[in-house]
Amino acid sequence: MITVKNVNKSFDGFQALKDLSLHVETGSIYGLVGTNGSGKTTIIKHLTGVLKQDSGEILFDGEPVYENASLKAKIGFVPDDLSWFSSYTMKEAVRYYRSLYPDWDKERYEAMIQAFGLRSRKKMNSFSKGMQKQAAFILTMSTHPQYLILDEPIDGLDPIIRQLVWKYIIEDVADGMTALISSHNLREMEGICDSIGILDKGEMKIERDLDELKSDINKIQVAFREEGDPEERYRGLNVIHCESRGKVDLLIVRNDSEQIRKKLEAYHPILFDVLPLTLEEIFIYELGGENYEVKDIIL
Amino acid sequence: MKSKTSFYSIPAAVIREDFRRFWAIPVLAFIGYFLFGLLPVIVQYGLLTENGGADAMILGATVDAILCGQNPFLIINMAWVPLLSGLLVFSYLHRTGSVMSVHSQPVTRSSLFCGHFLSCVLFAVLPLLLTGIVLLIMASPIYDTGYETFGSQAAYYYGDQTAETARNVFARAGVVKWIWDCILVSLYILAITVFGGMITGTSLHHFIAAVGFNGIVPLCYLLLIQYFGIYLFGYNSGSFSMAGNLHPLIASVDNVHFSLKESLIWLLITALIIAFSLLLYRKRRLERATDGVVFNAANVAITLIFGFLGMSLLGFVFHEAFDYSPAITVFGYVAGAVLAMVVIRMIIMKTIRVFDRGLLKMMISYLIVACVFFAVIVLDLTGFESKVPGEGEADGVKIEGIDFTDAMTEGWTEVTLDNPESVALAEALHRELTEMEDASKKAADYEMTSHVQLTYFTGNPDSDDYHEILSRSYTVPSGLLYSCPALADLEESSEISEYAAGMIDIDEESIISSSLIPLQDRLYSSEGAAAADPAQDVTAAVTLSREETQELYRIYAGEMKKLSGKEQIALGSSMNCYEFDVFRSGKDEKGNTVSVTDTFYIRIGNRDTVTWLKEHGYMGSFSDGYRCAAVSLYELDAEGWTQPQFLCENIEPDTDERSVVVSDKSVMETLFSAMRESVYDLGTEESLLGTGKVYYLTFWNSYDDYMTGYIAADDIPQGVTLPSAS
Repeated sequence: MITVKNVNKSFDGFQALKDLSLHVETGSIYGLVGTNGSGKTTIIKHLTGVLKQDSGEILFDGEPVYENASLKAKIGFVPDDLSWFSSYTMKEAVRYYRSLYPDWDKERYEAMIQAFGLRSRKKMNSFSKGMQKQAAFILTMSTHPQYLILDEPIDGLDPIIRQLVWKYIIEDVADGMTALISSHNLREMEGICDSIGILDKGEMKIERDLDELKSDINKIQVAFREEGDPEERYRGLNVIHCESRGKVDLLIVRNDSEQIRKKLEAYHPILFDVLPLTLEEIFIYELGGENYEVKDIIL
Repeated sequence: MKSKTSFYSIPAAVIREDFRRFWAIPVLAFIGYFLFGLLPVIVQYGLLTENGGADAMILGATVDAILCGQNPFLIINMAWVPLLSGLLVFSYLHRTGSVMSVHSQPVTRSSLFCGHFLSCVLFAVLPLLLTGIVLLIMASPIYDTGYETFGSQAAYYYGDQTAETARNVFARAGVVKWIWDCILVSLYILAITVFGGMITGTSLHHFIAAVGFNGIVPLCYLLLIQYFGIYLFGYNSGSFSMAGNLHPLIASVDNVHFSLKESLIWLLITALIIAFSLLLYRKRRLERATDGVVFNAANVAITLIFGFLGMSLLGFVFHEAFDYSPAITVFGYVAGAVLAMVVIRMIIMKTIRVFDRGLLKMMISYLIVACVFFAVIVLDLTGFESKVPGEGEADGVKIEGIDFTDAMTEGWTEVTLDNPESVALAEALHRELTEMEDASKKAADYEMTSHVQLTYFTGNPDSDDYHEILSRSYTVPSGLLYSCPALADLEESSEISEYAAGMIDIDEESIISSSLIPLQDRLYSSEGAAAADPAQDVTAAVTLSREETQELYRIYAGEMKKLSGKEQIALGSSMNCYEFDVFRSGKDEKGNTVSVTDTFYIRIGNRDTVTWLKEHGYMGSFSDGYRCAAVSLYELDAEGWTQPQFLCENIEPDTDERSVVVSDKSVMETLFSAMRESVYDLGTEESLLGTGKVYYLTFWNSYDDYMTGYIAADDIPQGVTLPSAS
C-alpha cells in the first residue's frame, strides 16, 4: 500500500503541494489526474524518492521512500521525460538495470521485447518518442516492480501498443503489484483504474474508488409537463450543473440516483433518465464546472 | 530467470556507466601525455644512439620539463582532465530529466556521489599512472649522484656522457614523485570542480564555478596583499610565493615537489572539500536543477566575493591610472563592487531583473564589511605599522636590501644577525623606518629609493624551533635611509664587520684563475645602448693567471679587511667598478670536489687594488667603456626636485640656462666617481637643499641618456663652469 500523509512542499515560496494525502491499495491501479501545474509530477517525484517533502509522510507499506535504496529497488518508474535514456542502447540499458535491480528478469525482458517488436541496437536518442516510452516501460517491467509509478505512460503510443501496455500492467496488478498512473487521458484511465485522485493546485480534490465516485455523482435528464420554478424543484439536491434545452433539464447532481428519483417524482416528471457519466465529465464538473478550462487537459 | 544483485555493487555499476559514457576522457588524456610527454623522451632516447652524449642535455632538459612541472602542455593536460571529468560526470544534476531518472533509481545519493567521484578520480589518475609506468620503464635508477634524484641534473653536471651513460638520465624516484604530484593536483582540481557542481544548477554555471573556484583563493589572497601593500606601510607584499600554498597547481609549476607534510595537508584539504560536497549533495534540493545556484547561502557568498573582486579590480585600476588619487580610488571601489554584484546576480539568476530587496540587502551588508575592512587597514587599527619587536622578543633578524658589503659582493643584500646588540640596533633602524611613511609617499618618481626588508626570528638558530615572528618591508628614499643614525650604528657593529670579513676568506692555494670584468660594460648593456649599436663594443673582460689572481686577491682582501662597513660604502660608485671573479676548487656538501666562483667588486676607492690594476695595465677609462659623449649638469631649485629638460639626441647644450654640458673625459670621469658619494650623503630632499646647491647629472652616449644621478656643488671638480639658478 502506498500512503501519502499530509505532504507539503514549497518551491521558493510557491506551495506546490498543500497538505496532500493519497492512498493506493495493494494490488490496485490508482489514476492520478489533474490539470497542468496541479502537482502530479511533483507528487510523483516525491513518490519515487527524488524530492524530499517539507512535511508529511510518504510510505510504501510503512517504509519511507526517501534515500531508501532497498525500497526503491522494488519501485518501477517510467518518467515522462526520457532524456536520460538517450545515451543508451537497449543492450547497455539492460546491463545497467540488471546491475541496479536485484529482481531483474531476463526472460521477461526477452518476451516483452518480442511482444513490442523493439529490437534495435541503436542509441535510444534515435528512437521515436513512442519507442523510447516502450523501451523505458519494458526495462521497468523487467525489474518485476512491487510498485509501479508511471507518468503519462501512453503518451505518444499507438492504440495497439497502448493495449499491450495496459495488458502488462493489469497482469502484474493481478499478481499483487500496486500501480499509480498519472495521465491526461481520462478515457483510458476510466477503463483501467480502480480508484482515482483528482489534484488541483497541489490539493487532493477528490480521492475515491472509481465506481463509488460514479455512483455519487449523476447526470440526470429530466422534463416536466408543467413549468415551474427550477429552484423550488431542485431544492435539497446538490446540483453542481444545470442546463435547460427546451423543456428538458440536464442536471449534474452529487447525490445518490435513488435519492434524486424520490425527490423529483414529487413533481411528476414526464422524462427521468440517469445517463452514464464519464470520468471526463466528473473531472470537469468537480474541478469547476462548465467554466473550467478543460480544453488543454482532456484529450 | 531472475538475477540477484548486491547493493554493495551499486557504486561499481555507477562507475561502469561513467566509463561507458565518458571513456574518451582518459583516452584523450593519455594521448595528451603521450604526445607532449612520452613521445619527446622516446625520440630523444632514439637520437642518443647516433649522437652519443651530445643529446644527453636535450634529453635531460626534456625529462626535467616533465618531472619538474615545466612542460606547459602537460600542465594543461593535467588540469583539464579532472575539470572536464567533474563537469561531465556530474552534469546529470543539471538536467531535470536526468535528475528524475537517476534519483529514482535504487541508489542513495551518497552512493551516487561516491561512484561518480571515483569515476572522475580514475579518469584523472589512470592516464597518469600509465604515463608514469612508461616513464618508469624508461628511467634508470641513479644512485648517489650528489644531486637531486628527480629531474636530470645529473646529466648536466657529469659532463662526459656517452650514449650508454646518458641513458642514466632520470631516476625512478623522480617519476614516482611526479606521479604523486600530479595526482595531488588532479584530486584538488577535481574536488573543487565537484564542489562547484554541487552548488550550481546548470552546466554553464558549473563550468564558471569550477574554473572560478580553482582560482578564487589565490586571487583573493593576491588582492588582499595588494590592499595591505597599498594601505599598510611596511607590509611585506613581496611574499607572492605564498600563492603557491593556495593551489597545488601553482606550487607544482613552480618546480616544487610536494613534501610529505605538504602532501598530507593538500590531501586533507581535498578530503574536506569532498566531504563538504557530499554533504551539499545530500542537502541539495533537486527541484532547483536549471537554477543558476541552488543554495541561497552560496548565492549570497558568490555575489559578495564577486563584489570584492570587482571592487578590487576597478579600484586598483583607478588607483594606478589617476595617480593614486584617494577620491577616485574610492569611486573605483564603489563602482566596481556595485557593477560586479549586479552582473554576477544577473548571471546567477539568469535575468536582468535583479534589482530587488535581496540585492539591496547584500549591497548594504557588503558596504558594512568593506567599511570595517578599510577602517582596519587605512587607519591601522591593529597597530601593524608601528609594531616593532620589544626588547628580548626577537632572537635574530634578517635584513634584506641594505648593501652592507656593497663594496665586495654584488647581490649580497641579505644578512642575518643574532647578536642581541645587533638585533637591538636593527630594531632601532626599524623604528626609524616606521617614521618614514610620509617621506616615502612624497618621494618623486625619479628619486632614488631603497627596498628594505626586516624579518625577525625567535628561538635557537640551530634548532627547529627557530621561526619567524615578524616581517616588514619598506621602500624609502635612499638618501633618507642611508642618513639614519641607527643604520650608521649598525654598519659599525661588530657582527656586520665580522660578516664583511667573512666574505673575504678564500684559501689562496685553492685559487685557479680569475676574470676581471669592467662593470660599466654590464651597465652599458643593461641600458640598451649596446644592443642598439653592437659595433661599439666595450672593454672586454680579461683573465688573470693563478699567480696574478693570488696577488690581486691578497691586496684586495688586505685592504677590505681594514675597512668598517661604513667605510666600505664610501669606496665609490657601484657602477664604476670591476667585477673580480675568482675561480677556485672547493667541496660540496658531500665532500665532492667542485668548481667554485667567488665574486668581488673593486671600487674606485680601493686605492691599493686600483694601483695594482693600473700598474699591470688592467685599468681602463670609464668613458671609453661607456662611450660617454657628454655629461649635463642641471641645478635643482630650492622649491624641490624639478625634472630637468633632457638634452636632445645630438648633445646640443640645453637652452635652459640652469644647465651646463661637459664633454671633457677626465672631468666626466671625476663627476662619475664623485656622483655616488654625493647621493649617499644627500639625505632627504629638504636636508639636501638645505646644505647647498645640488645638481642633477645626466650621462649621454651618442644615442640617449643612459645614467642619471645627483652631485653636491662641493663635489664638482674644477674646470666645470657651473650654471646659476634663475
